Amino acid sequence: MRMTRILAFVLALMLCAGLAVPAFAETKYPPRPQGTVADLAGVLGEQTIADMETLNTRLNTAAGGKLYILTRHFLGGVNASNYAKKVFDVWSLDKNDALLLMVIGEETSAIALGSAAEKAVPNDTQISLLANHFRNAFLARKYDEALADVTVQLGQTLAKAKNQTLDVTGLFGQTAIQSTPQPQTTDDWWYGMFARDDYDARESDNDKFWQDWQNQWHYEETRINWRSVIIWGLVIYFLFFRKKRRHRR
Amino acid sequence: MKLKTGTAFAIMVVLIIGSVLFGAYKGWTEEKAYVDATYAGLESMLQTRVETAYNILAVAKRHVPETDEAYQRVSMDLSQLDNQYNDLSRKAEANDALGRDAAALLKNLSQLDSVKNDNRDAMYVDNYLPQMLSESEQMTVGATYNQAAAEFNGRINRTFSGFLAKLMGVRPAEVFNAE
Repeated sequence: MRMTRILAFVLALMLCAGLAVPAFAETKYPPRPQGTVADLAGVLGEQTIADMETLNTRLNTAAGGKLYILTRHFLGGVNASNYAKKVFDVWSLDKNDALLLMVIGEETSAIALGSAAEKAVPNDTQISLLANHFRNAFLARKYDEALADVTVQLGQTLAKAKNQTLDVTGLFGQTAIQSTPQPQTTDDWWYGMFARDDYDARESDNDKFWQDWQNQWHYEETRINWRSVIIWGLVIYFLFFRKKRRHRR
Repeated sequence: MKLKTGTAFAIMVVLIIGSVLFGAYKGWTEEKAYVDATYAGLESMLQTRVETAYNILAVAKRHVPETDEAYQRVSMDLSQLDNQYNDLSRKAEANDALGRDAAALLKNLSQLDSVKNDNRDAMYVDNYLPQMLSESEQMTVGATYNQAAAEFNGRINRTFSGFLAKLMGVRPAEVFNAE
């Protein structure tokens, strides 16, 4: 009996812990793209995305890494640098890879690098790259141009660290200037706007949990509790009927 | 040892009252725990409101000074809503206020020339952010916690065992009124 109670208590604790876990999983991340570009804000031209894939094929051959791109509208108060680092981990990127995050509605950006790439491009070089080859075009909403400039520079820096050269001929030559976000699918809109939580999934879990409890409650409410009937029957019997029988003698 | 009828009856009455009270307390406490377990879902829904407020302010500060009255109101609502130490009723008030103040700020922004002449921000102000505001409000109102708390309170207030549980100190669930 005592063991059963302890077990029930442990199970209840586990249930509470299971429900509490999502409360601390506060950030929601978009899925890793098929290629290397996740343009959730819809600000990049098709040619730029195609050129990024070509650039990455060449960079991967030369230096063994890739440059990933993520664009979003907003981060809902989340720090861009932290968000980029988390996405880097969630996407399970390689130590030679780099990720550039562009937050269009907040006009912020951040770079996250793998351990090997970070040695080739230390923090001050990252700041310099963004300041000299990204920031102005980004603020002028020439997103393709900004992306082309910084990724070519970053790719060449990564290749140079491995005593290689990155061939960029024929890439980003016909960059279309894309200054207005394009209409997107519902999923893209959701990912691009809300940043922190897997809201739908959590609420769906909660709803199921509550419905189960409701069903159980209605069951408890309507069924006849035979155990109680027997216990009370015994109590009444021992207190009254046994005594009455003795009186008859 | 013989037990007098009166004593036996008194013991029985005490036992019955005690077990009924204990049963009511135990049952309703357990059910309250289930209601409380859905609270994390409401917090999660409230985060969509927090995010929306951050995003509106991010766009607004490009077009109005941070001392702007409408901007200040949204900023204050945000800090109340995002304050983990605030109780549910204060968060509900802040959530209500955020709905009104954010809509007012977006309306002000949409009338500014600087927004009208800016394709990107006009799109945010006229489409994306109002949609975010509206969706986050619907999600918050429809959170399972609200339903669970309302049903719990309804039951505890209309049943005899609920009345006993309240005598034993079980309190109704805190209601989040988003309207």
